[in-house]
Order: sequence, then C-alpha cells, then structure tokens
Amino acid sequence: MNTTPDPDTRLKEAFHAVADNAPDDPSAEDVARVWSAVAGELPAEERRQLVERTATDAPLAQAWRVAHELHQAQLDGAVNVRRSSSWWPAALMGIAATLIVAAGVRVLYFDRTPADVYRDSGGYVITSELATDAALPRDAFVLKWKPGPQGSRYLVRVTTADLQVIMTAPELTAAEVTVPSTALAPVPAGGRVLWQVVMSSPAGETVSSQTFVTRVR
Amino acid sequence: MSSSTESIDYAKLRQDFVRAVARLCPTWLSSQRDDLVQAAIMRVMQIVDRQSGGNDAPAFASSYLYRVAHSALVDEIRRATRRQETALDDAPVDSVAVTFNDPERITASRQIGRAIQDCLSAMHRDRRLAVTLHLQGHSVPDAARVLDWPAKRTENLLYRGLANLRECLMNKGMQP
Repeated sequence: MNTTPDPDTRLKEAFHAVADNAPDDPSAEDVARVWSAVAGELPAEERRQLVERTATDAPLAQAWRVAHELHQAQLDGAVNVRRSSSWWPAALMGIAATLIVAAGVRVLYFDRTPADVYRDSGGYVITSELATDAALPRDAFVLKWKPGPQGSRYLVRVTTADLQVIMTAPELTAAEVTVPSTALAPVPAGGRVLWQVVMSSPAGETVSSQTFVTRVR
Repeated sequence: MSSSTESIDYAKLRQDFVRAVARLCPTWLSSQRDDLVQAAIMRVMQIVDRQSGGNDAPAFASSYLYRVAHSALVDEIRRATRRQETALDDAPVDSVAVTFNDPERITASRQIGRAIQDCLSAMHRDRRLAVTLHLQGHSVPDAARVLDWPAKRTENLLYRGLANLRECLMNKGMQP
C-alpha cells in the first residue's frame, strides 16, 4: 500500500488558510459559475479564467474546493431523486410542510450575495439570546431570540439533530417559545436540538434566521 | 402510482456533506462540522421546497440538487468561518468552541498563503493555472480535464510551476 505523504500538504494548507479570514464572500453568481466550471458546463476558456481568479481570490478558491468535493461525491453516486410514497419519512414530510410557511422568505441564494442574505433584510438579523451550544433543562426549555420591530410575529421550527420535527410554533408574538418536555422526549440528555426562526414584521418584511443549536441538559 | 411523490435522498446528500466538510475543514471539531452539515441540509431543503412551490412532484435533476447543495454549503462554511473568526477576536478561548489548535501556526500559515498568492500572480499564466488546481486538490488528469489540456502538458506546467513557487517563497524568506 502506498502511504507516501503529499509533499505539498503544507503548501495546500497555507493556500486554503487564507480564506478563513477573508472579509468578503463570493457572489451568488460566482458560486454558480464555479459549480458550472467544475461540472464541465462552461467553455474551457471560461473555466481557465475562473481558475485564474481562484489563484488570488481566497473565498472563490474555497467555493471551488467545495464544488470539487461535492462534484466528486456526485460522480461517486448521485443522490436519488426517486418516486416513492413510502421512503419519505413522516418527519421529513413534516419539516417540508413547515418549510412551506417560509416560502415567501426573501432569503434567496440566486438573487443576492449569500453572505448578506440576512443583513440585506432591512438590516435586521435574528440572533439567538442563548449562548452558543447552550444546554437547557428539559422542563424549562425556553428558546429566546432578539426581538424584531414592535408587532412582529414569529414562526419557530424545532428539530432533532437528525431533522425530525418536534415542534412548529407559528404566530408567536413574543421573542421566545417554550418547547414542552414531551416534545423533547426523542432527544437524549446532552442531545442537540436545532431551531430556526422566521420573523414577519408589521411592514411585511420576512426574515429567516440561521439554524441555532441548543442542547438538552 | 399517481399519488406517489418525488423524494430526495437527503441521507445520501448528508453523507456527501459530511465527507466534504471533513476534508475541507479538517481542523474543526466534529460537533461543529455536524452543526454546519445540519444547517446546510436544512437550507437545501428550504430552497428545494421553495423552488417546488410545495408541490408533491418537483422535477429536480440530480445536477440541480447538487448545484443547490454547493451554494448552501459554501454559504454555511463562510458563515461558520466568520463565527470562528469573531470568536477568536472577541472572546476568551474557553468561552466558545474555538477549534483552532494553534493560533500562531494558523497566522503563519495564512502569511505563507498570502505569499503563495503573490507568487502565483507573478507566475506565467499557464503554470499558474496548473499550480492553482494542484493546490486546490486536483490530480493531474483532473486538472487537465478542467483546463482542457493534454495531461502531459499539464504535468510539465505543474512541475515547472511548483519549482517557480518554491523559489519565489524562498526569496520571500519562507521555507515551503
């Protein structure tokens, strides 16, 4: 078995590390073009031009690496998009149903810069009031977030780590919600719960949060 | 048959995400990689659902799904990276899940990375392209496919380009 280490590992690590503190993100258009290039959908010269940009544009280079990895995975065996009435778990159907509520959310990858999707929403960002990876007691599992403008309403969806929906709470007027201990039954002590907030402001603006992670104590 | 629904094998996509993130972010804690994967999967589901309009039979080709997945994963990696950078800047090390093992090594690595960028900028274009793809993790045959050049030519350009790069870094006082 050949276990010769890659002599250029350090060079590669250094080249990749530049992206970590690069302030700017690649635009949605560039990200899409990178995928097209890696997938061989762009003409050769356009592919070369993109490669040339990645030499000095670290975030774009990072997007290229992500595309390269995923494209390899796709070639190894693409995700099935298949007809089945039985495979789709009820839990995923549930989360899909709740996601429909967010269909109007203006968090689009394809019409704005991905990194700014939240900040662009009128300048409002939904942030958790809980510490990163906080652990809450099962019988007082209160999720809290920074309130939006007066009169805002919130939808909160909560899932287990494997995406089973355990609670969906629509039309909340307060910036907090209690997850009943009965809903937390599938989550073991120390287990993680994922939650997202979708805010509708009185002005008609809709903002979606990132996914927050909270543990059950 | 008509009542069946198109469904997407999110388990496979999740496996792909896990593998990709493990390779792309090897220094991160596994719990943080898990969180990133979960967030990215949820974003993909959100986009897919929005694109389908909530219908039961979205016509998603695999290629489209992976395109969406790529966008979501890039976004989540950038978001997670920003959070880590903010944590490094703002918080005591033990108050957040900072994953970097050695800040000095990271700083040094970034300095070398920026020097690599400078050296690439000064390099002959064709060599620059070959070396860039090598640094991005492409094999010679794969780089040749992307660049639409013969493999032998790509290999020669890479060989000469790497020599240029090492010489350039040495001139900057860096040992590659």
